[in-house]
Amino acid sequence: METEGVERFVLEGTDYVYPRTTNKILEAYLIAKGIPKEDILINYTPFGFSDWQTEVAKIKEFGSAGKKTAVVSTINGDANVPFYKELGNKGIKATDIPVVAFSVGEEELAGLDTKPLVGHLAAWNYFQSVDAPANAEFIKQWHAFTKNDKRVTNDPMEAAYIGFSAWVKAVEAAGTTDTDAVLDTIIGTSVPNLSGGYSTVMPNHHITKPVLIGEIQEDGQFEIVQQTPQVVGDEWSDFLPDSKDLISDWRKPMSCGNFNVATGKCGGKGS
Amino acid sequence: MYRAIQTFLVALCLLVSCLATGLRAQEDIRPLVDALGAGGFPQKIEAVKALAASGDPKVAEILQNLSDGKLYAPKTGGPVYLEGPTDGGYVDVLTGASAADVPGNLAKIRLNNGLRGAIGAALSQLTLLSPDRAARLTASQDLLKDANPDNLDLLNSALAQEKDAEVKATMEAARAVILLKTDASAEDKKAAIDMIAARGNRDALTILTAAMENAPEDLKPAIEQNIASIKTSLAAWDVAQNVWYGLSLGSVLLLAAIGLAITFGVMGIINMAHGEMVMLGAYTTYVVQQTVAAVAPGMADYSLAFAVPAAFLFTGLVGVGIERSVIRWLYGRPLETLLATWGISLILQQAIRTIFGPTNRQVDNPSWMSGVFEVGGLAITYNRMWIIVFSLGVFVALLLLLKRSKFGLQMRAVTQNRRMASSMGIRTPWVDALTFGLGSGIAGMAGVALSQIDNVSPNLGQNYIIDSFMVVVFGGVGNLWGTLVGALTLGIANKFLEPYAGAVLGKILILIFIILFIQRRPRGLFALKGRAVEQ
Amino acid sequence: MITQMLFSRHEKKTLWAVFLILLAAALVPLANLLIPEGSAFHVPGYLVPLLGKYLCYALLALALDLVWGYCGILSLGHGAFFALGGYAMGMYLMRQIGDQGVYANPLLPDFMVFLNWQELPWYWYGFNHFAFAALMVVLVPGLLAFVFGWFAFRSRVTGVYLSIITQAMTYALLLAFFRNEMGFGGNNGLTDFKEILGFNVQAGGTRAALFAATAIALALALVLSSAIVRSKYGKVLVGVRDAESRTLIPGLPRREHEAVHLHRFGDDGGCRRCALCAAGRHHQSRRIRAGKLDRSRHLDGGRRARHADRTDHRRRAGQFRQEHLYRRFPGILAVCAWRAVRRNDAVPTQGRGRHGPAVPRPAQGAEEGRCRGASLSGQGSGQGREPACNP
Repeated sequence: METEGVERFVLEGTDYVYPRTTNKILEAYLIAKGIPKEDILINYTPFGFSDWQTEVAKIKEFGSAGKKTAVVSTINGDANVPFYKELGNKGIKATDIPVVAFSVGEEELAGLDTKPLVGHLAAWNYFQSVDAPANAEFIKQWHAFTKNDKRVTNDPMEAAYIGFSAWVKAVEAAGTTDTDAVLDTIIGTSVPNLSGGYSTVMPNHHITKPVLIGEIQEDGQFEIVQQTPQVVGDEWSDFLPDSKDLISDWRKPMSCGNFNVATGKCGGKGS
Repeated sequence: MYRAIQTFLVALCLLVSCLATGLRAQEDIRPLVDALGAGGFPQKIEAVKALAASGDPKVAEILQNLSDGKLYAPKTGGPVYLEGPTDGGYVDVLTGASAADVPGNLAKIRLNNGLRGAIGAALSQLTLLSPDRAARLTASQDLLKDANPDNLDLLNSALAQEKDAEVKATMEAARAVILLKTDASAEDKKAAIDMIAARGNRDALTILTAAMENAPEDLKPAIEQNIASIKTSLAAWDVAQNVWYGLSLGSVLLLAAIGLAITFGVMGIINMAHGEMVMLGAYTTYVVQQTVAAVAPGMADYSLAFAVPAAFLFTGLVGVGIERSVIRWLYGRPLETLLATWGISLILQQAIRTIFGPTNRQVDNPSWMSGVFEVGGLAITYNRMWIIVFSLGVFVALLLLLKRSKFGLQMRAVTQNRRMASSMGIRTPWVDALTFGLGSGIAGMAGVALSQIDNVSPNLGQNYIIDSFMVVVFGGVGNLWGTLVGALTLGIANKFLEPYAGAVLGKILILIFIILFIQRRPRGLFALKGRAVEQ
Repeated sequence: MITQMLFSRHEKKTLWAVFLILLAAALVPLANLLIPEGSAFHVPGYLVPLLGKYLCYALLALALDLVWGYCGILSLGHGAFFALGGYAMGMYLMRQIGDQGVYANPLLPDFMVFLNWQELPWYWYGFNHFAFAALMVVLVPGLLAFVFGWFAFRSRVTGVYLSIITQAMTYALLLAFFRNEMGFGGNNGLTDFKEILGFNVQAGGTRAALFAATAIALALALVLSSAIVRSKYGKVLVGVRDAESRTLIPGLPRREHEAVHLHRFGDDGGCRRCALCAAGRHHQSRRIRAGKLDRSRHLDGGRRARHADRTDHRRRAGQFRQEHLYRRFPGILAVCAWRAVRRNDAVPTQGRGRHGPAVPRPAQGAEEGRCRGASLSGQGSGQGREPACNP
């Protein structure tokens, strides 16, 4: 994003908790980076929304204020297909107003004619196009399992893969499948992920993964254009005033999901 | 003889030297080409610019290959290769000769939007004088977007020899935009502003707003005035645009509801599986498209022409099957019909899910249904336009069928007075089955249209069933005109509410409006008169 | 006395059903709590809320049967009433979380803190009291059903049209509750409940108690609806179902009935049940979502048919003036309705409906002021003139 010099942002999301959280953090982040509030447009639509004419026209209008504009999309599920179709038909190309999607993966693109969408972006921790032996092997097994070599893999699949491997390892370490025992041993467990590295379960129950930014290609795959090293999942955003003092640590004796480092208490903002 | 040999030698020399210079030219740009494979995107953008500046005739081709993703380079940097015509083979970028000892770690040179933009700008400079009109138009549009003052001279020379009006207008606009960025005289700039303002569209607004920032003080009032006038005219166009959006939404509603106007409106069957007929139609489109792509790839653009009758026949047959097997036992018991058809809808959904899987299927838009054109300030997308045309066509055809054909006459007779029709020798069971089949078939055709704008997934039908019922009830049961007016009214009302109330609240308001409207006019906009009302 | 009234009229199988439900209310929690794990008779912990959920659905089905089966009104809005009851109870449970939430705000539920709300919306007030919430569980859906029914039946919206506008209502509510701005948690709904009346909702004992409460509510609802159906009122309902116009002629203001009736379904039949059941359900599954408003929820309940209404020309002729009257004097008519029903007590019912049981038929020329729509007099209805209604 920074390399493209975007100055205006449309945060377009489906009306539920994940887009609202993401957009709340993003807005705080962008404002912290010096983007004025009037250059951020936040909009929500319901699940399965299909008539995007007005919304896309709104984006186009917002993008015609003379500054480079980008859309950060947290639109979920089925609503994506008509959204991208409308974008494509309205002639909004990635070079004009790029769309960065947080929840569009290979599986969603499989239902789409991707030609008009080349160049739009997506952020995930994994793409099928990741160039790693582990990934090639995984894709091969997946095609054999589904008996369909056109089926795509995506990030949630990788998450399940890592999650299960981590659990297996933790169970081996604990010697039991008892939930509490596994919860203790799983922290610090490190398993190979599909992008060629290792994912470690952190005390806050997040895992380390690289963040990848990919561009949609004509064949419905993503071309990775940017890649970070392993990133530790941050459970409470540092950009929101309410949550910047909060940390989460599920190790004993703390075992608290919302520990407040300012007041030293478990229980959120505290009072 | 001596002269002949001499001439030959001279010619040979010339040839050799020519070849040598040719080779030398190629070798000159080789480092520039190889730079494409190294470094990050900023470096690559520089490399593209350097390559374009070299003026070598090969550059356009190389850049096109790069943009198409056909260039490969070792990950660590090094010589760049072009993807060969055979699988896995590589050729030299400049000579096209098969490349020997290719390194093993070649990877496609990746593009991002910045790089794509740079390539586009470079290509536009190179193709601005191309004999191909389309190429010139794209090039001038790219120049307009890019507006790099370096291209001013190029533009001037291109303008001098341009004949085509549209290309010329675009070039002039590009020139005007560039002029605003340079330190041209005040008069020139004033003319440029007027020129841009005369275009009067949203792009002009963008350009002028951007130009505001570093415009000289004395020009600012003129720019502001132009911005204001463009905004006023755009606001007027916005109303027209909203009407268009409303018509487009209304046509989708009409398509979804018109089949229901037959099954529910004319026959009185509450067909909850109507949405699934739409869904089946969309899947038929998918299957037809796949088949056409496999059998006759050249016809891919016209697969919809096959899909429409195929979907009509297929869903019509399914409809006849449902009527014969389930619904005919339930005539006169509307609420059981509702329950039974709802069960059928679940069965159909699950069947599709089992056969095609739960994920969306890809249905391509044919090229004549993609893109957008502008009429004044109206942006009209081709797919929406064709859907409006299609829905009106279906409506007229259905109206003619009902009013002018023998089948239509029989159908109306049966629904109005079954016993009488039967005693006149009409085979009422068959008329019932065919009528239901007709309603289902139309739903299938609606599915073909909807596959162009919506997901082709097992849930496709569910999203439209409630809306379809609302349209039919609002318009008045048993009246096709009511359905037409109802669909368009609801569509336009929805689109006018949307900018103020938001998509969801707008929809809620529409639903509340329908509920209240039904209280006032329990039989809809166009109530049927006569005995049939009370049944 | 009341017991006698409640039980004397029931069929044997109703009583058996009630007995079995009550037996389950006692046995399942006991088998869950007292019988040790591993025994063949132990009811595992997960099964208690699951069974409770089924009982809730049974309650909903009962409500639907009353509306659909006995009055022939297919309400596609029952899922909405069900969910409203659930939301009312859910709001109480949300308030009970207090400062144990993730954001530890003593007043605002977590999702409001998250959405940067500063104060509690007015409609959340009072829900910290269980009694108030329990009242709202019945009142809110009941009131909605009554208002909706009043308007719908006053304008003679019936049959399929009614089904479709109730569907519109449900869909509108669904969309509205999905909106985060509404203050009901949007798509996520109300979650993370901790306590009910001071008991931990997750505890086995609480769950068992809730199961018992649900079963008892179901039994009571069954008895109650059975009593309703067997009363004169219930017979009028069946009459309205089978031949609306015929019930109208004998002087029973039909619309009042249906309005009252839908209200009662909202209230007695539907909402009390729905709501209780939703409330119960809710404790058991600990999560309410707007998705519960989905149309699929309410189609699995009823089974009785609604038969088409008979046409009656006379009714149409009298329609205008009747409506005029109804609009003006709803109060009078309510009393009329009541009297009309009372009058029928003295009259032996005769089988008149073609498909259903009996339609009560008032005696000709009863000396007491028979209530009829004044408009009917002089319509040549063949019923003779009766004095107009006068409370």
